[in-house]
Amino acid sequence: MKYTLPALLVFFLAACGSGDPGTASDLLSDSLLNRNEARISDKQVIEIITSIPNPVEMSSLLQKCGVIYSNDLLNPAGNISKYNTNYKKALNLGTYGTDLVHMNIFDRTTSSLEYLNNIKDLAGDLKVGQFFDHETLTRLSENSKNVDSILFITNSGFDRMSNFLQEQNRTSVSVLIGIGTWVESLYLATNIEKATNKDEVFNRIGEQKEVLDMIIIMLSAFADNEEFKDLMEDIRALKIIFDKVKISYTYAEPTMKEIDGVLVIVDNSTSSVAISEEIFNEISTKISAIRTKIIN
Amino acid sequence: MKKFLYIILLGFIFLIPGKASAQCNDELLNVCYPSLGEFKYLKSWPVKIKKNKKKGAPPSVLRFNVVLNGGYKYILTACDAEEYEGKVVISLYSGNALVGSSYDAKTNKDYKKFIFDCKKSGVYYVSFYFIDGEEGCAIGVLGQQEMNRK
Repeated sequence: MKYTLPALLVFFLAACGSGDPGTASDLLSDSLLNRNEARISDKQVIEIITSIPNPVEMSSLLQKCGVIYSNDLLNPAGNISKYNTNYKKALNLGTYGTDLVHMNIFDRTTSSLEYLNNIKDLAGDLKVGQFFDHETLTRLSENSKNVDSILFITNSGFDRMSNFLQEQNRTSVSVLIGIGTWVESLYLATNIEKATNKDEVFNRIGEQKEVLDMIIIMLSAFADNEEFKDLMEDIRALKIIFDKVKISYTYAEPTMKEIDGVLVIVDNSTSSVAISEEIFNEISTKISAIRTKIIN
Repeated sequence: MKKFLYIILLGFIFLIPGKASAQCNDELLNVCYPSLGEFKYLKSWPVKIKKNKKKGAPPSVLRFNVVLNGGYKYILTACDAEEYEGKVVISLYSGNALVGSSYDAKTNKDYKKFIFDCKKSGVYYVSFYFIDGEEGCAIGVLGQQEMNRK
């Protein structure tokens, strides 16, 4: 029963597809790997890849909850020399992207230059460097008052990279960047010693159960790719832990009102997350292990 | 306030030629970004749909998943590229249930955007179509309400 939701979602996505039979083409590897068939199509991967949260959301929450910033938690900038394959470059473009966002949210903008350079280099190696406005970001990073602009240029740049990769049938690279981003966000959020509101962080971690389901569906498109196998096993092991998190919902019709000409829709449904400290710690341990493999 | 500086920067870029450019390319996002107002940029979706050739057929729809968090307000907005006739509609679904839409077909009112006061965390679907199945190009943008920084 543990894969019920992903299985249903795959079925739902397959049923809702436009009929485009395109496969999850893969230009990831330095040497192309053959795959017999895709579990879901490129189009379906593109539909669900945006379910991976923007790292701004997690880092903003940590900042709001009084989490103390620690530079030691970031992927060391010097690690870039270890990333010699496109697989590693894509994953760590994601980890460095999250770290850059995290530094900016915590007003460490002026210390982010090495991370900007790393993102520029990795994006360049993956042939998506044109979407990362390194020059403007470097200039804006000299002044910590430009955080909103930096975050918009960074995040929109990553969105443009992802869209371009999908247009170029390099969806696998886009998925890896997204997974690197997500794992790094979870790593930062599960390594908190002190927070004024730990419950909110715990709940947000628990809510990642649904994101994980989406990631498993996306990874199924690359099930025959050798490079993905280890990552997929790790993600499935993480899923076993996340299955202990209980999420419940109540549904009620939303209500609509117009305020100053703007349509406002108020959700009347609710959700609640049950996650113990023990489960949180298990998730933390597993995420640390996955992240260690990614960054080394 | 910090976003204000960026809007000024964009103003210089787009107002120098005389009018705001909103063509079907990467710049469409920069033109649409100020419509977020005080909301923080989270994601964007480029939308390009060809004219529906079958008479009477429903418009073609593009859809994407997104995870929203209860306790936050979101804005969903979309901007059309100027060289196309199509007027984009952005809608939000929870499962198969419509949560909200920028266009009210009953009154023919096009709000262009809407705010969603989210109480239920989970996977939602953002969908796009062009009114009357016209060909169109647009960018959809999701923003989250700014949280107070220290």
